[in-house]
Amino acid sequence: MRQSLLVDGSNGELLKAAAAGDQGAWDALVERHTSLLWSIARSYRLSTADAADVVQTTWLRLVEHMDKIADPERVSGWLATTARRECIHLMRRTDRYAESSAELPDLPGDGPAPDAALLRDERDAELWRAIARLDEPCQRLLRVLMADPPPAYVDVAAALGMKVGSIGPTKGRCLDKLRALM
Amino acid sequence: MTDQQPSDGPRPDAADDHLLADLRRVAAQADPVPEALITTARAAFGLRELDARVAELVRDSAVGASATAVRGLGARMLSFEAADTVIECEVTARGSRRDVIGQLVGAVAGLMQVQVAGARAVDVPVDDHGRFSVGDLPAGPFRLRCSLTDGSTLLTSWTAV
Repeated sequence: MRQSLLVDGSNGELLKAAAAGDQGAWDALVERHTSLLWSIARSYRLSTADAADVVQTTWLRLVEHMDKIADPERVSGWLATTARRECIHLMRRTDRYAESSAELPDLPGDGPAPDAALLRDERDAELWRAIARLDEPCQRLLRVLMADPPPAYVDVAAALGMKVGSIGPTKGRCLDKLRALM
Repeated sequence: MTDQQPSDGPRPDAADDHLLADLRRVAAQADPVPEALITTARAAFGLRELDARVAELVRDSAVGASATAVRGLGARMLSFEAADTVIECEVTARGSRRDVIGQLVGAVAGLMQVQVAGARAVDVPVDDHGRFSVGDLPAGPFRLRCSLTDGSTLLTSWTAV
């Protein structure tokens, strides 16, 4: 019965089990949502270190607030909103460049490295390079949509501060633009 | 949605789904979630504290109209509040390390600890006026844990420094 909770349980069931002390239920929530959180942070063009901080802090906040989540079934929306807030807070900080020049700079344009060299398939590499040539809003939307498992539009909307009804149409337009670049 | 005859080829929705599936696969190879991040996210569960109050971040000198911490000039001031209790922190960056000095006001702590994700809580000396100092933290999320003399526990909200 517990195995079916971890595999088939709803997000709300997992959250309630975690709140009752079930580490396995927590791990299942982490497995389900970390890709989404990583995709959100990378869609805001954060460096790997900053993106890791955002994802880490978001999970820590859920631990902090686990008993107080108003709607456990909507925890993925809570996570997406929290990640967005952490990204925005980080981007608004004026002290981020205080590190010594010996460290790699957190430049805003230092987004997901187009590591096309890692992609053996030439079409895959072409796709990844084409993404980088899209306008910023399309890059951001598509990067979030690339999360695994595919995120619900309501969570994408929460991640990007968009109206949920605009996600579908904007997705279609962005994919058409991408095809035009191939 | 318009009706389509079987001979019209794939519906636009299906073509979009295929392209997105390709993109998802490519992202998983070109920009995967770091495995260490999954590990630390699982471990975050062990940092849960029942019955502790959380002091939320209410002011960050690095953000907003009054942003004063500019590119290496001066420290970053953080203020955490829970009801009548305030914890002020001054954070200084030294390369990838962080030093924090601050003061707990409105409550008395018998014991104060600092936590960074992935490491054990470290005791922090606190004087009679609630002043404390902790140095050489790694950059990343941190929080302070105060065991108050009234028996309660007060935590600052996890904040990335």
